[in-house]
Amino acid sequence: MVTINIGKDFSVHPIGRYFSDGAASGEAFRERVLLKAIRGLHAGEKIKIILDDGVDGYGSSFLSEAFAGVVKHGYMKSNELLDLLTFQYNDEDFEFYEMKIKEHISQAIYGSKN
Amino acid sequence: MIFYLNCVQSPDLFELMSKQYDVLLGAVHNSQKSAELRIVITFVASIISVLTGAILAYLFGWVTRKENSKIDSAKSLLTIVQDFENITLEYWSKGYDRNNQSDSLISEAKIKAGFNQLRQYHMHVDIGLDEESKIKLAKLISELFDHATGGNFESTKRKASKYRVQIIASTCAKITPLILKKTFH
Repeated sequence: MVTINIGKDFSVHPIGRYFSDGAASGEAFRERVLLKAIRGLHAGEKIKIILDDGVDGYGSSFLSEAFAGVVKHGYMKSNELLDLLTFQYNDEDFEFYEMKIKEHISQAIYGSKN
Repeated sequence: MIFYLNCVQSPDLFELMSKQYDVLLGAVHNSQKSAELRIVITFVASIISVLTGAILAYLFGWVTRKENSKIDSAKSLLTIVQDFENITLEYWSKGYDRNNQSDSLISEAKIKAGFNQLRQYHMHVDIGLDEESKIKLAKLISELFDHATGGNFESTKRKASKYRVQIIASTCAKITPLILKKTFH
């Protein structure tokens, strides 16, 4: 199991969609953190994402670009990505963001941004 | 005198009269006991009536306060939705302005904080909605999150969006009557 703690491994202020919006954008997370972790996985290994360590919340633009972007840019299909990811949080309010991430991934069309 | 003489002369009659006197005394004694019992019963009944009245008044007050509290909570939620709508409509009616970045930053922070407030209020405060309305409200709030913070939210590429202004206003317009329904009950 590979763990990504968004607050510690990326930013406590995830903000924006594209690289041009800054180093804490959804695109930066996807390309520099999430895809790197996915590429380093061994067979059958999964990724645990800690959502609430130091992070106040997320915008839909960040979540969509960071997670659904993996599918839209053709790196992986929705079901494959959903199978890889597990989520962890102590604050029950973050269940909402887990639900939104899964919703964005499920609705994403494979390769639609290629 | 004749009667007295008759009594003296007739011991049976005297005995009978004596018994009647005892019966009379017994009746008077019983009557006193009965009066005491009536006083006790009246006293206990009064206490029960007063207690029942007090309990009913308390329960009525409790139910009324609880109901009023739900109506107040619904009104507060309505205010939160209206504030959130105002901030987001203002934000999406303008594009990103490089010369006025602080305005965008402030609006974005307010939108994120406003949405958290809205969602937490919805999750943790009981406004007395039935299950069907609760599910509808949760779905609309989830949609509102995507409309308000989706697209080019927090992006330098953000342009004024007529679509987002309309869809946010429309979603808030669907949320409002769900909450108002409670305040009218």
